[in-house]
Amino acid sequence: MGLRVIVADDHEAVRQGLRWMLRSDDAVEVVAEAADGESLLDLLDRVACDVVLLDLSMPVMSGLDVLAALKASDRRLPVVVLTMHDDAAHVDRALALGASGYILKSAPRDEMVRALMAAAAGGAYVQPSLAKPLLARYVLAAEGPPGEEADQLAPRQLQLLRALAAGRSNKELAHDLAISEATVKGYLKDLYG
Amino acid sequence: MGATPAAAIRRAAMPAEISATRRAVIAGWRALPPSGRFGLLGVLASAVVAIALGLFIPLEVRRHLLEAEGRGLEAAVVALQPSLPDLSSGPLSSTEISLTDRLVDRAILDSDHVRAKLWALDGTVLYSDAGELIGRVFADVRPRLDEVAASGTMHEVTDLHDAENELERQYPRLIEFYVPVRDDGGRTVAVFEIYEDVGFLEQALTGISNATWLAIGSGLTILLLFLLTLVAAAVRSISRDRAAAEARAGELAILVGAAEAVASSLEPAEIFSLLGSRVSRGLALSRLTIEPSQATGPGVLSFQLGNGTWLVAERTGGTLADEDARVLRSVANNLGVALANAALYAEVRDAAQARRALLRQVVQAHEDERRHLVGELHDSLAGDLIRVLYGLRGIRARASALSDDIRAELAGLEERVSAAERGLRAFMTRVRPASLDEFGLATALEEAVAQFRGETGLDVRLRVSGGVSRVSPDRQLVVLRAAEEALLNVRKHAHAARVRVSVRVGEARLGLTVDDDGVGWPAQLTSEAGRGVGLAYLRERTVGFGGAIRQERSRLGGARLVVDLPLGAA
Repeated sequence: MGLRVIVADDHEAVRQGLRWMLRSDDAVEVVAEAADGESLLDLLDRVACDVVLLDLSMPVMSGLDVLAALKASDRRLPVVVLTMHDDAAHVDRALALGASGYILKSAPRDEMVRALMAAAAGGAYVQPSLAKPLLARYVLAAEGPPGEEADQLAPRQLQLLRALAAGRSNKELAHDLAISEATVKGYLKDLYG
Repeated sequence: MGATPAAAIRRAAMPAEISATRRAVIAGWRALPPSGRFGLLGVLASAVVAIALGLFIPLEVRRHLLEAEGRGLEAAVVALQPSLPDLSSGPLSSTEISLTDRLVDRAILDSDHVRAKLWALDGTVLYSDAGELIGRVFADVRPRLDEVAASGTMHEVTDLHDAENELERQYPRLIEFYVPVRDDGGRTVAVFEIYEDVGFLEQALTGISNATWLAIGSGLTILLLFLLTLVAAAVRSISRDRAAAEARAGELAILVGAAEAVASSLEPAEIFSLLGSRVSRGLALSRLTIEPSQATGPGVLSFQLGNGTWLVAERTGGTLADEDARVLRSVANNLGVALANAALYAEVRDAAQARRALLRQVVQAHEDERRHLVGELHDSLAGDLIRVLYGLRGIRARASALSDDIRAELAGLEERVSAAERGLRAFMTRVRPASLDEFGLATALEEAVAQFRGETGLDVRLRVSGGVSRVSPDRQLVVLRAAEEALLNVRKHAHAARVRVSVRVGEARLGLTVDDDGVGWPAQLTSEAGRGVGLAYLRERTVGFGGAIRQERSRLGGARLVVDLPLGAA
């Protein structure tokens, strides 16, 4: 008895292909199929499975909506996302909504099986080509938000900002820094503009 | 710091010191126009000169009269002299005295010349018509005698207190003439002193003086009257001018108000309501309206406006004067021009709005088409490619029985299809990024920036501030496309190391800026002709939403693209 998988994808052809491809491996068995998110949720109530292979772009209820619904229902069902979207936004959102795996539709069969196994075993799997930027984002987030503009400010501008924060007027600033009021306005324009 | 007490007291006392009259004079002087002041000063100067003349003329006349008298007496003495006894040899004998007495009585004395003395130079009275003085010596007369001997005839008012004049005290006003008596050699041997009663002379002088004063007084009076008339006329004329100037200023104020009203708006109704209220108030009109036809009647004036309508003004219960008509005509001219301008502007504005709407529609249609295309690709081609890919992989998984060359062919096909699928995915993202529809502008920008970073390895940062969710989807797309276009330009032209993308969403507008530290805008991207297809397209899109694109110099040193877009319906 292999891993029981429910496939959700709006493309009949894709579902056919998946069935055909996965049937070649005894480790995995497609037990049911859904063409949209809503019917998938229905199916999950009736059919027992170990893992769901979920497309993101589907009519009626998208894959992300399904993930959100599952997360809200507190149902501990491993879901591997199978999608065309290789962008960080989709990856991040799907993982944030509790997906256990994220692979692209173009992923090799072995990789797909590996992801399903890992997810079913309570682990996680993200396709290596997506995992690297994901880790980079994670590291970036862990380091805190970059000091976006601060490192772009000239010392003069910092000086001006501090004086401004102290409530000095343009005229006073000009006097403090021994520059003309027009120059102060120029700096401020740069700061705001 | 303050004034000394003394100064304070002085100052406090000042107002009391100035009498009411003085204050009135000062106030009057201040009230006078400059011409009046000059006139008054002229009269005062004339008065001073006239008074000086009035004092001087009688004195001068008197001097001349007395000198003439002196010369007459001199002539009489010269005529008398040959007949006189020898005066150089001491006191005269009684015969000589009686001879002299006769001579004097006949040649000198008359009703005016009342007395005569003949002095020796040592102060001895040689002869007097009053005999008791003869032989007496008055030493204090000598200086005068010496003076007469030296410089000739002189005269002076008789001092009746002098001792030698005791006999003359019966006359109220005498002048004494001293006339030298000279011998044949011209030497003064004696001096005649002749007393003249100047009562008549004084009378004549008084007459002259009175006449002079009368002439001066009447002259000054006439001058003053003339001047007062002149000043009054000038004051009248000035106040007339001032009234005219004030009226003109009032007219000008109305016209300026009308011009401001005309300049303040391009909405005909707004222009007229503002202008109408100002002009009506300024000219005290009861009605100022735009009518389709000319109106006439008492207190009503109509002016053609050029677009077939009439400006009708009415002053109930009054008349409209020429000045009012002049102002109204000018107002009507201005209004006519302004209304024509407003009509033109409305046409242009409508045309511009239509063009923008059209542009937006074109852009929208374009984007709809893209979305549709991506949808179609996703639904058909993408799915089919995946289906083929999975088919091939399924075959290969079962292919242990197949020959090596078939397996190799299958692997090659699989790779080709996989590459085609990747290419299609990239193309779809480029045509219409799924993240924009799914997650909005901020995410789509992050995607674009991340992709750019991945492809170029440059230091790219994105900052998004403000409520991006308030930006309508079509505008979000414009911003995303603008950012992509800018990044593309950076990659192609900038040679930059740092790129900063910033989106700020404000109350009514949003701004996108893309800065880099590269070489700045290349010439082919700034010239009007060759701005590049991408930028030109972007400009059209932005203009379609009532926005603008600016290519500036970045403070990072390179190029800066600014997109400014209004949030509301453009």
